[in-house]
Amino acid sequence: MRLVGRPIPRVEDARILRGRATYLDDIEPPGTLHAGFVRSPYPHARVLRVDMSDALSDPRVIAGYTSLPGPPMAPGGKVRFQGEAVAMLVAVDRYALADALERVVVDYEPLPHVVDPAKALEEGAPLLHEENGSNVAHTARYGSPDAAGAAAPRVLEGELRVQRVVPAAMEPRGVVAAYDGHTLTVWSSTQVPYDVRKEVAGALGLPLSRVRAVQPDVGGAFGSKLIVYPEEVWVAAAAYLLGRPVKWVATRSEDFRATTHGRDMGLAFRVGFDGSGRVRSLWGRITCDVGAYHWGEGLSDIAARMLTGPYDIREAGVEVVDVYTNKTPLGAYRGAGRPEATFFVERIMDMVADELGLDPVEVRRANLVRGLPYTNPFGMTYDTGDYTGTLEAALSRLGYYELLRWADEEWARGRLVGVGLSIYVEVTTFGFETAIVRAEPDGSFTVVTGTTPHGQGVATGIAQIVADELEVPLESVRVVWGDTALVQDGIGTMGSRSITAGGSAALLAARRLREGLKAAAEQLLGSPVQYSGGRFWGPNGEAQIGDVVRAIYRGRASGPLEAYEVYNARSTYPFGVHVAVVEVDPETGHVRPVLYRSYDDAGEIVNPLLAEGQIHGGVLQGVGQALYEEAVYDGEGNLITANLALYGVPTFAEAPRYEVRFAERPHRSEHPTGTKGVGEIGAIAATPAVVRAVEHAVRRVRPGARATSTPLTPEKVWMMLRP
Amino acid sequence: MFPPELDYVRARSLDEAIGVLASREDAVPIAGGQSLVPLLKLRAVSPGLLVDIRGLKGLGGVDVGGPIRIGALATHGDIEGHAELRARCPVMAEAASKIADVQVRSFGTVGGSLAHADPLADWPPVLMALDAEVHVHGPSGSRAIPMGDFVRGPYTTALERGELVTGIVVRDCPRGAAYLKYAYRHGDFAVVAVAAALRADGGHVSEARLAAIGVADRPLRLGQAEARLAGVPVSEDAFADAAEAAARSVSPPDDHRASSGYRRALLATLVKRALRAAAGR
Repeated sequence: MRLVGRPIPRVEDARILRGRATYLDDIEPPGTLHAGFVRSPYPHARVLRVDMSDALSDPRVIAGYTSLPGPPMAPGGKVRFQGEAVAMLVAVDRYALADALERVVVDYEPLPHVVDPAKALEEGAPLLHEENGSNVAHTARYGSPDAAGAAAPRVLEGELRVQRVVPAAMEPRGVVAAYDGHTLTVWSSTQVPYDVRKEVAGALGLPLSRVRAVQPDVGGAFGSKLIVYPEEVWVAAAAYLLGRPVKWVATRSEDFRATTHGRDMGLAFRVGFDGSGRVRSLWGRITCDVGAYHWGEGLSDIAARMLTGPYDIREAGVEVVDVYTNKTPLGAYRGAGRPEATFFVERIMDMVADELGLDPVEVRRANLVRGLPYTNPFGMTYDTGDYTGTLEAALSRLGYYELLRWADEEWARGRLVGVGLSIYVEVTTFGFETAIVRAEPDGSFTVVTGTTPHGQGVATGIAQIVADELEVPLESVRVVWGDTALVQDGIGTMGSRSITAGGSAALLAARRLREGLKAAAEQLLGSPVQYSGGRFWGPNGEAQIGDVVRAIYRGRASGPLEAYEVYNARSTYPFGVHVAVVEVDPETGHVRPVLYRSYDDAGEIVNPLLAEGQIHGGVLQGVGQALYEEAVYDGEGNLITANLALYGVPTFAEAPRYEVRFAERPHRSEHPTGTKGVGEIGAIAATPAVVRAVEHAVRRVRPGARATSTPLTPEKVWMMLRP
Repeated sequence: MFPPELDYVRARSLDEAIGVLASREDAVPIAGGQSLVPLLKLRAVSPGLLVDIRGLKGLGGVDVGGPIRIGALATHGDIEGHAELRARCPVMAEAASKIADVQVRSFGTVGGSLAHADPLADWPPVLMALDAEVHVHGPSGSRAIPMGDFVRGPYTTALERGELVTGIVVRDCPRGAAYLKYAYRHGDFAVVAVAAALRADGGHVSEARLAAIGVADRPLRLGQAEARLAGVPVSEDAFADAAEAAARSVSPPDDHRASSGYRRALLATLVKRALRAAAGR
């Protein structure tokens, strides 16, 4: 019986759930020193002098640095966001370190700062990077330049905004490095060990062969750990220079400021449509607040290029402006551009429907792409699917119209509930990925995946795929990852690509190994053989797969013991329909997510249990974006939501009831796994669905109410409800 | 947690604890640690000496034999889970259940919460509405402080140097009492919360006590709203009238969590709901 398609519990659970995982902070080689950073309290300042002499007079303090191989600290003598590193100290323990950090004296000359991207674009605004001549970090145009002035029977203009959020992975960033005189080993809480290895080796002038990067168990990342941060290189450099292990683990408050934030995009739009709701043209300008450095390149470009969503809008054009401000740099965060695009286009569809007094589903149906593949106006080619058919199936499976009727009945009884629907198409998967499938001497198999899972259950999914291909039990396949000593190159887990790119690489490696073992079995048995269920057989007899492997290990047959596969994966496009139900307290504005239903065509589903878990987690982050979370900076450039007591990550108690379904007859991708990816769907679809649900409820009380920005805090909802 | 270096002593008796606290200016008591430890983690405070009073005998427990007596070291969880107290004074169990989460309730103590005097702590409004007394013991002996006089400002109380909260006494817990807390998420500090205690005689209000947090820099007794309720028939109209009076009587703070106007509106809603809940008990 095939394992793919079955809801198998994570093989990772035994370790993770019983507290036996090894996270970064669990790693401490003997003699480890502890590193910490002096960070700027100012959003923008010139660093005049860093005096570490008092700190260094403490014998427990081993070293202090204002520069190290790798990126410069305070580049150009300036700090550009609150929390930017100015100096690094290394001490014998964390107590000494914390004391010493307080004894470093830094003379700052505070400079005028700007935290509002609109103000940052004004003439005379303080410049973050003077050599750049303005605060514009990047611009681009996609689609038709004529869309802005396109004629249409009806035109609607407006502005929408998706707020800045903190990824807030449970495990903060951290790095440990140790140099044994030959090999520099760098353990990092990262999604990209290959990049860490390359950056560290490059900074120190070492060949890759002398640097090993290890990704231990990682307690969440959500895209916030997919760049190589300066701290990773600096700590590795200090370990190399000092010849002793050095460790740094961010505190929560430090992580809130020094790890990339997400989203933070605004859209000015002009949409032209006719009386039936058919959209004739769409023009938009996306302004993305990238913070102090452009670490999150491409986020606004993805948002722009997915702006028409699953709708066939031929006349469409988008401009992109990325703007520097004195904030923590922006980076990828679960969905990375698609949640913003989906929020924008779904809000626009709802507004068009409301303008015309039409059913929002009707307007969407009138505009949905028919016939795939389909290349959108920005050059993105949606691969497979049946959007109108899936919509109809979803409406019935999700009980959308029944929920609307129920909401009417509840309102008649005095209870204010709202129902919101969103449709999305999103883009997953890119680039190459690697896999090694190795036969062990007992006939079990080890898979080394180039992906870098960190809680998703990817190892379980890949084990299912490989066990099916080799026709062996799940228990015979072990999946390992995250160590450049095991696999030298790869990209990693991000962009919902792991099962599609990494799983396909593993599948193809397993297939090749199986073919090689078959050839070896034919040598052993002296005849052509067939294979099934772990057994080769032919006219002269049979051999178990383990017998063949052992024969190769002992030189009695020749054949491969492992297969290394590099798979280049083109992008693929999941599609789906989500419905959110919320209850609104009309007196306080409080919104309670009650129920969340989803129907997704994400291609083949390797493991429905784990896929459903991915939807749950993504949806709750989308709910957080819609209702609870916001990285707030005050006028002085202070991040005032600077830790988990002040920043509202939704918890289990805020979660709605989930009812997750996948399309019964999914449209496969072109990849060997047939999968499209599920990791980011929830975060993409949930925010517009929840926002519409709130608006749907509020419009019973205030018919013209319109939600244009997130989060819909209770106070904002209360304001919308007021006369 | 990596605080600056500090000394630690486990007090063996109340007098020893008070002696140490009175003699060293940089000494602070620690019981459940649910407020102090986060501050130490952030290095927002740097005491020279922690005096651990958690093991002191006779400072814990809940006694409902006569007046309700709750030891300073009783945890929020002890109060939440005490069956006789819940029967006798349900509002206290209700309030306890709304504090933070299970972990915090298992460690945090009522005495610690009162002495820390966070402006958004849940106990002060409840104990103000119940006209409770805070019992303290210090170098010059014991005294009882009316709850209404105990909190003097944000993180500031009537405690003198060396004095410790030993317990609280509630002489009068009307059945008709309720604590309504509005927070953005489960377990958050309140945005606004209201405690109400209500007695009626022949359908008329004979006694009404109201207190709130989140509308000033400290817990407030809502005297003007109480005055509006004196002797009037128990009714939705009366509650609405009191709610309006309460809202008019405050000048709430304005910050990123909530504007002044929103806090005022929340206060009115919560006063109304608290009175309704109290009247229904």
